Order: sequence, then C-alpha cells, then structure tokens
Amino acid sequence: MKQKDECSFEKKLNAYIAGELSEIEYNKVREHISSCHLCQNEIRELQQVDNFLFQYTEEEVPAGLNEKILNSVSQSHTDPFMRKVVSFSIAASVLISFMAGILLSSGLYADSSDSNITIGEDSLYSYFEGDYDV
Amino acid sequence: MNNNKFEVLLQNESKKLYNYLLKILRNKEDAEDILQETFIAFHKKMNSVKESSYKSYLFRTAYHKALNLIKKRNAKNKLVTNYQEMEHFEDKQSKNNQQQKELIKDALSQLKPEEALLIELQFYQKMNYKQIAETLETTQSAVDSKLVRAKKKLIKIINEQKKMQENNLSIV
Repeated sequence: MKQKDECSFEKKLNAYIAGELSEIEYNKVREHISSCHLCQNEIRELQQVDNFLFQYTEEEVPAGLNEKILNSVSQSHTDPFMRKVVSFSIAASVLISFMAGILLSSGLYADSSDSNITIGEDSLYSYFEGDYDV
Repeated sequence: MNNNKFEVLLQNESKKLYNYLLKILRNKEDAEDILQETFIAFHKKMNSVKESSYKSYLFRTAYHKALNLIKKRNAKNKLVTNYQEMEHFEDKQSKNNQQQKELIKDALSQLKPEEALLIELQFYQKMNYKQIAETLETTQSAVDSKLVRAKKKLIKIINEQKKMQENNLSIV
C-alpha cells in the first residue's frame, strides 16, 4: 500500500481520465501509465466508479410538477413594478378616503348639527310623553 | 420576458435537478418539495443572477436546501427510518430492474452532500472542473482533490455492495 503513495502521478489520474489536463501534461501521464502498474490499477478503479455511476437512468419529473411550480411562482411573486403600483394605489385610496371622511363629516356638522339634535330630542320627548306605543 | 426565460429554464433543468435531489434525498416527496422551493427562490433572485450562472445558481440553491433538510432529518433521528426504508428497498431490489439505480442512490447517499454534488455535476451534468469550481465557489484544484476523495469512498462502497450481494447469493 505504501508503494501506492510513492507514485507522484497518482494525483493527476482523475484529471487525466476527466480530460482536464493540458495536452503536454496529458501526454506525460499517458506515457507514464504505460509503464506503471500502480497507476494502471488506480485508473481501473476510478473507471469502475465511472462505469457504476453511468448506469443511472434519469427519472421523469412527476406529471404536473412543473405547472405547479409555475403557478406557485406567479402567485407568490408578481412583477415588482406591478407590486409597487398596487401598493401605491392602496395607499392613495386609503388617504383619499380618510381626507374625504374628514371633509364630509366637518361639512355635515356645520350644516345640520342643530336640526339633527332637535329631531332626536323631539323623538325622545314624544316617547316619554306617550306618543309611541310600546 | 423573465417569465418566458424562467419557463424555458424550468423545462430544461427541472428533470436534472429532480434526479440530483432524488439521488441524495432518496425520497420522491422531499425531492419534489425541494425542487419547487429551489425554483421559487431562483425566480425571486433571477434579476440579480447572470444568465450564464443560472444553472450553477440552481444547483447551489438545491444543494443548500437539501442539506438543510438532511440536517433536519438527522436532528429528528429519522436516519433510523431511512435505514429501514433502505432495507425495504433491498428486499424489492431483487424483484425488479430498479436494482442498479437503487444501488447508485444508496452509494451516493452515503457520501457527504458536497461530495454527492461534485459527482452529480461532473458525471450527470457533464460540467468541467472550471464550471464546477464556479458553481461551488471554490478552486479547480479543490474540485479535483475532493472528487478523488469522493471516488475513493465510492470504490469502498461499491466493493461493500458487491460483498453483500455475494453473501446474499451464497445464502440463497
């Protein structure tokens, strides 16, 4: 086993079979392998892993999952510009309603506050005077 | 425009991501959930991600989300359940042609999630060292040494699987 560590090319073998070495390095390693049994064994083992992994055949995405994702995305994440427009519209409508409420209520009290109270008082008087049947 | 791009990406990449998640999570429902979460998270960040990095971003996101799920599972001591599921799988394996696929899933699930991702990116996504390094935000030499480590582990696992199969055959 110690012999294995002694081969300086071992570290390059994975990159060699993955095609990650430069042409010069690749040729050097290839030449070395032809005469090194340790590296030949190492390559055999690494290729055994490759062969094992390549036997996996992909499974299909379950039916309807992509559509489900598209729906989730469109529901959870509307266009940022549209979100700003909607937020601004809501804020503006709340403000307008508030202002309109203030204006309307002040106008009503200024015009008809006395008459309203009078009607109310009249009604109460009438009730206690017995004008209303219980 | 972005929605069209997103839809195309979803059609092109969901199968690859789904299979990656299946391999490391070994559970269809979990793989579906994480796939969905990954694409939703990606959609939120899509504008700030370079188009050339879409795939890397998706795999990185899926990896982190799967890792969180695995941690949660471990915290809940669900490993026992998974082990039982694996045994159940083994019973089934001898009866159907899914055997090899399950052995690969089994082997990959025994690696660290980062190692499984490296294997996924190199073998199944056909990425080169440079692309893997970009995806995992690391160096090419780190990719190489980690891949070698992962493969060495796989060699051990494959050999153990072979022994187990031989033992099972000798018992039968």
